[in-house]
Amino acid sequence: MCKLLNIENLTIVANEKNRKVKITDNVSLSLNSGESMGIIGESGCGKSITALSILGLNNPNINIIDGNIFFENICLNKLSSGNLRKICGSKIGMIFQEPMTALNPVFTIEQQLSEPLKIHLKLSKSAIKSKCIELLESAGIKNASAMLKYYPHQLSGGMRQRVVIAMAIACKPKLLIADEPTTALDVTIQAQILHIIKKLIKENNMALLIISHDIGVISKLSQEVSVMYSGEIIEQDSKTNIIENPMHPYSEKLINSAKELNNGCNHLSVVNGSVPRPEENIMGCKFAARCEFCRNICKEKKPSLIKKNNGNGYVRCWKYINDQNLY
Amino acid sequence: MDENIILQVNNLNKQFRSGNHKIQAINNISFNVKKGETFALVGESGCGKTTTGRLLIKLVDADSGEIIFKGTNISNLSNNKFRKLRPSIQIIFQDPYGSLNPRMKIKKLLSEAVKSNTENKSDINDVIWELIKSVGLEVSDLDKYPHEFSGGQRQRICIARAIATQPDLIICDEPVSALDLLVQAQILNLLKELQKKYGFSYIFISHNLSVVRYISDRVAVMCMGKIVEEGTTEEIFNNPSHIYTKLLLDSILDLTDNEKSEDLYKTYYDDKYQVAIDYVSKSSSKLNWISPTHYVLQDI
Ligand SMILES: Nc1ncnc2c1ncn2[C@@H]1O[C@H](COP(=O)(O)OP(=O)(O)OP(=O)(O)O)[C@@H](O)[C@H]1O
Ligand SMILES: Nc1ncnc2c1ncn2[C@@H]1O[C@H](COP(=O)(O)OP(=O)(O)O)[C@@H](O)[C@H]1O
Ligand code: SF4
Ligand SMILES: [Mg+2]
Ligand SMILES: [Mg+2]
Repeated sequence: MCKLLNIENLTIVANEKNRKVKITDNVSLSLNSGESMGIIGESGCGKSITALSILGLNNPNINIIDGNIFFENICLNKLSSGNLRKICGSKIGMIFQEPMTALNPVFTIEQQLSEPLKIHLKLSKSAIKSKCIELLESAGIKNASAMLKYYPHQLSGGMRQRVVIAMAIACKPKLLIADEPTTALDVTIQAQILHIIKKLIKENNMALLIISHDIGVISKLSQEVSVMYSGEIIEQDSKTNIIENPMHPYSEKLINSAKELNNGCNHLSVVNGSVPRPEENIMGCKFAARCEFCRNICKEKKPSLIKKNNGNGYVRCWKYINDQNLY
Repeated sequence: MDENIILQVNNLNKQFRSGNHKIQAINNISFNVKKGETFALVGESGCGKTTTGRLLIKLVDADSGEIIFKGTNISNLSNNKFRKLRPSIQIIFQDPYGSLNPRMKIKKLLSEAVKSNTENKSDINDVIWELIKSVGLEVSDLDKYPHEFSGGQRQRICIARAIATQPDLIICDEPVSALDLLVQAQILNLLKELQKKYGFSYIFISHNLSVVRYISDRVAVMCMGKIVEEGTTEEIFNNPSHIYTKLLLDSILDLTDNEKSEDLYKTYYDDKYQVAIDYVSKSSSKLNWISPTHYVLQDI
């Protein structure tokens, strides 16, 4: 069976004034239809850049220099922007962190929601209106027909995000990409929105790529998890394995920190230092400066992503590379 | 008054007007903060947490109510007289980027803060060295500008500036919300450590319940300008008694328990939320005491 989404060895650079900076390095991930994958990592590690590259939405100074993105066996990064829009508009839906990115302040909700229905589904005028109402209702909006006449600024953040969700699923996409869909929202609203996304992907058998720095959000919505650190995938496994038995020292710290906070413990363990910036040229493991297991080899040579001994996951760490002479 | 209480707030009210629309941002709230403790204000965006903090340092004036700080009623103090007290109350903001002057070196930033407290007579360089080291940065960092630091490091600088005046009370308004999880842990532990060393009291403002549970001794839950429940951290988390507090606690996303995630799927948060909000808007100002330290706002 062919994969719905297949990202292969994606390396992305940002062209800055007088230099090129590598933002993601050799990122691979894939998704079957109906499956869900979460990408977790700290701010700036390359999650959004990876997600936006699927839809060709990155700034023009951000370029793919290596690797490919296949969607239903079509290589998206080789398509013209017109063709890409044709495919993406109807088959891939996107929810952004900041709902106003996706909404146009000068159009009513009805005008914005009608657009994809007109273009991709070619519905009649009256059919469009009732479809709009149906979509808003499925995104948890009660007074949907009144809402159609509103402009985005008349809605609260939570309501706006619901409208964006309604737009993203308008054409029943096969893949929904959600980039930090609840980061800008309150906790109670977050719970409502996660609930709606979960209901919608189940009802419509959509695949989901969810991006967050919050393992709580990831754990609610995804079966598989990729952990990113400074532009690289450093561990990839089922959600259960990542949460119960993280293997990479960074994943372990991240999960433990979240667990400690959630369980109301009275001392948080601390990892000193911070994530290296993309322009820092690091030859070895990117986590080495903060890792308690760091040895000479870690600083000299980048570990590759290897299959875990037990099960189907992958991890990028010298500790697990079975060459005793090296580590 | 109890010797240990450094701040006592009684029946504070604040209304904002935008056009002909009125918002009761703070609705008759009362609480106190003891010496050396961390008192948290939690609640959703717009519930009045930041406004409460701004009232306490007189950035905005209350419509009615009393604020008694170390025995002095500061609510009707002239601005001039309040300025003398001001070094003893400091505030740390959510956004460590916006709150540091980008054109000022860290050394200058800190020395201005130290000088604002006239009591401080010791050599200013020694004080600044001590400050920068106590927040986990290096003396060499003093010659840098704010943009040369990461978000977590900038928040450390804000903390150094806040403690520079040797305050009694520090208001922390969402101090870790803009930071990544591992950096959050660094800053939270730093705040705890400094409290132990210097005996500050904190008012810790946050919408993140897990963070609040970790850092605070007592918690007040706010909703629509009212404190709907107050108790020790243990009482609030183990025996939440107001419908709104329960909803907030239900919204914490845990990692371990899959049943709850199915629950999340089945339950309609929307409806529960509406019920809780209606309940709060209809509640009276009578308190229902559950223990000597724990109360909820009573229904009409
Ligand atoms: N200067 C002002 N003029 C008019 N309304 C205001 C003003 N300042 C605050 N408000 C209103 O008062 C209420 C409380 O605001 P406040 O900033 O205290 O919320 P908060 O609990 O800190 O929220 P957040 O979690 O988003 O920071 C809100 O409804 C807000 O819109
Ligand atoms: N337009 C741009 N030009 C140069 N660098 C960028 C640009 N957009 C993002 N970056 C950098 O790329 C890295 C990854 O960004 P991003 O994918 O947005 O991170 P996140 O994981 O938080 O979503 C960051 O270091 C960021 O500063
Ligand atoms: S490769 Fe070495 S430094 Fe990197 S995470 Fe593994 S043990 Fe730590
Ligand atoms: Mg992002
Ligand atoms: Mg606020």
